[in-house]
Amino acid sequence: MWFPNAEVTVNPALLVLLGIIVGTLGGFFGVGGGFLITGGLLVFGVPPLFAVGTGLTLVMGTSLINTVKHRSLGNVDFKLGIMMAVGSVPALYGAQQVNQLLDEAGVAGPVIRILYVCFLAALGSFILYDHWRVGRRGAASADEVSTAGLAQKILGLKIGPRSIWLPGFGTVATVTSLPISGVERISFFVPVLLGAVVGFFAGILGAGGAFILTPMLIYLLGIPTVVAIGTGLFQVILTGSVGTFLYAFSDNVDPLMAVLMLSAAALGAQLGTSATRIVRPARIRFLYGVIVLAGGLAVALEEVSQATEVDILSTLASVVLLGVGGVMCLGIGVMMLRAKRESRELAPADD
Amino acid sequence: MNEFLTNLSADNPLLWALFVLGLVAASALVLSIVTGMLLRLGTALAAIFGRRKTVDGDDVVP
Repeated sequence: MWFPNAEVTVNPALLVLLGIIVGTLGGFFGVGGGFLITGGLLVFGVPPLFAVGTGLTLVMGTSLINTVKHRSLGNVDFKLGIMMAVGSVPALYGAQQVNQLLDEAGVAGPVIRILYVCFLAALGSFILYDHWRVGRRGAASADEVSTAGLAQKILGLKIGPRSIWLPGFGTVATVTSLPISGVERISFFVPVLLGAVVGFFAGILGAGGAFILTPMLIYLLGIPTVVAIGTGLFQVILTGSVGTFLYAFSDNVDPLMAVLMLSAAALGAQLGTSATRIVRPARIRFLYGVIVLAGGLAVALEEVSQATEVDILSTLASVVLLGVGGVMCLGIGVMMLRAKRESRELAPADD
Repeated sequence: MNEFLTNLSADNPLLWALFVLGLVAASALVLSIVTGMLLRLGTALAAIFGRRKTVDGDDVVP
C-alpha cells in the first residue's frame, strides 16, 4: 500500500499487526507505546522523521481510546492528571531547549540513547526487585508495593504556601484530596513537581512520558495500579497532542498510516483494558518490568549498532522489541481466555 | 485523495497540523465507540449461545 505523505510502500498487514500490539499493551500497561511504534515503523522502511511523527500521532490516538475505556471503568483521576499537566507542559518546553543545545553540540543522539538505556534498565530492574520483595514477604493486598512507607512520607510533604490567591477564584487552599486515587490529603505542589520531572524526562527522551509516570504514581504516591494506568494515559493525550501538532506542522506525519494502525489499535485496546480487570495488579507490574527491560535492551542494541555501524544490530533491536511485545499480547489474550473459562465454569456451580 | 493530502501538507502547514490532530482525535473517538459496541455485541451473543447450550444440557456442571 502506497502512503503519499511518507512516500513509502508498506504492507498494510504489518501495520495492522503493529497497531494491535501497541493498542493491547497501551491499554494493559497504561503507556503510549512510542518506543515500540517508532522501532516497528523503522523496520518496515518508513523514513526516520516520519516514523517518529506518525508514531507520536498513533500514541495520541491510542491513548485517547484507552483513556475513554479506562474512564468507563473509573480508573482515570482527571484532577490529578490536570495538576501534573501544570508542571509537565512547561517542563516539556524546557527539555526541548536542552535537546536543541545537545543537538548543536552534536551529541543529542548518543546522550538520549544512553539516558534511555540507563533509565529503562533502572526502572525495569526496580519493578522486578519490588515484585520479588513483596512476593517474598507475602503481600496483604494486591496493590501493596515495597515503597509504601516512602509514598506516605511524600503524600505528607508540606511544600509551599497553604493557600494561594488566583484571579477570579480568590484565595484557594493548596492542600486537596484525590478520592479516585484514594488519597485523603496531598499538597497541590507535589503532583506539579512530579509532572515537571516526568515532562522534562519525556521531552528529553522524545516520548509521551507514561512509561515514567505510571511507575512514579504507583511507587512514589502509592496510587492503585489501575488508576495509575488510566491517569498516565490521560497525561499522554496532552503530551502526545503537542508532539503530533509539532511534527504535523513540519510535515512529518502520514495520517493515512496513523489511522490504519489506529483502527487495529482500537481492537487491541479493548483487549488490553479489559484485561486490567482480571489480571492481578502485581502481575501487571511484573510484566511491565519485563517490557521496560526489553525496551532498554533494544535501545542498547541500537546504540551499539550506531557506534559500530553494524546494521544487523539495529534490526535485531526492533525484532527484540516487537517479539517481546507480540509474546506479551498473546499472553494477555491467553489470560483473558483462561479467566473467561474459569468464570463460565464457576457460574453454573454458583447457581 | 493522495493529491489532497500532499497538497494540503505542503501549502498550508498550520491547517494541515490542525487537520491531522482533528482527524486522529475524531477517528479515535469513533473507533472507541464502535469497538466498544462490537465488544458488547460479542458478549451478548456469547451469553445467548452459552445459555442455549446449557438448556440443551451439554455444558451443565453438576
